[in-house]
Amino acid sequence: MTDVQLQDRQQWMGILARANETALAQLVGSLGDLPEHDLLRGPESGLVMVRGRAGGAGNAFNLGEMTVTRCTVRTGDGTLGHAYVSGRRPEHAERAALADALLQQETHHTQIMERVIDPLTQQEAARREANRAESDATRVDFFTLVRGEDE
Amino acid sequence: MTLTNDLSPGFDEPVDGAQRTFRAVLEALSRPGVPVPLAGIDSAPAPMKPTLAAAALSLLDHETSVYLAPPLAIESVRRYIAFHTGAPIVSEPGEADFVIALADRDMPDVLQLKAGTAEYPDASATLLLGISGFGTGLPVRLSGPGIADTREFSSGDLTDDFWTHARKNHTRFPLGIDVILCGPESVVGLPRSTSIAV
Repeated sequence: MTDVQLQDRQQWMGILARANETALAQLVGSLGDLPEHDLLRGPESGLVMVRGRAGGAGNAFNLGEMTVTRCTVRTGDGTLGHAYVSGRRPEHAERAALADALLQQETHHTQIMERVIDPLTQQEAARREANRAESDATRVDFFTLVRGEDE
Repeated sequence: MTLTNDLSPGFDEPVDGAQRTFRAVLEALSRPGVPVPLAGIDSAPAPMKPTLAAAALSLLDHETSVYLAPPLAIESVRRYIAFHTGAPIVSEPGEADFVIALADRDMPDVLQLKAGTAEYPDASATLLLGISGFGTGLPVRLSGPGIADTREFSSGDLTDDFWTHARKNHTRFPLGIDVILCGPESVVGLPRSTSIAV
């Protein structure tokens, strides 16, 4: 897998994982018959430690544990699809994993991109925009005037 | 950009399968030389054997390093172990917590494997060894914890070399390695505490 392909895949896996569960179910459901797939692992829930560079020196810091559901599927031709989603959402994880597998196949890539990933990307952008608009309303800008004694 | 993969599923019921296997292995190590029935994972990638795969999937995790003895050290088996257990695969048998070998002849030198230290005898390796069956070949006499008097055990697969090494292994007790022999439908434990007489 080249770097570009890797980035593309990271991109769509992120979109699928952050998607609204109902929206994902509707979009995947609207595709009609999808290829058969086996569950290689899961969907299963567990805890992962979320770490961030929150220390003053940029050292890794254990922020806390969160619930994650993961799933790995294999479609008929042997393509693997993985998904990790937040919370206990087995159906979400399975749909996301299936979409990931299909996106790697040339026969399905364009269709899934146009009918699942693009709408989800727009929804995510809209969600972020709404969130920003809401917090913008109460934003306070801090600024410091040049103080006389510095001159 | 299709990726072709040959990854196959693990236990049908992950929790149940791992627990049953763990129970069987525990039973086998508690009664050395007695075959304990164990359902293997038939879908494991060749040349991995079903019971060997079941034992590996229930015993390994991300904290246990594993050495795969050739011919097991191939990409499909590595991927299988890495995906289902998350165990780091090492290239030196002497660094591994678990050593998996298909047969007696593939086995690395038993005395090179981690035997633990006087303070931590538990920091030793466990050998999972594939075997084609029990009850054939020259019997050896086992005695020690878990055996009331003595017990006869035989397997045509195991060479004199194996038994020589196994006896040396026992003389190091409480250090040494534990061996789990994985047959077609059962497992047999040979812990370091078992004394072996030919």
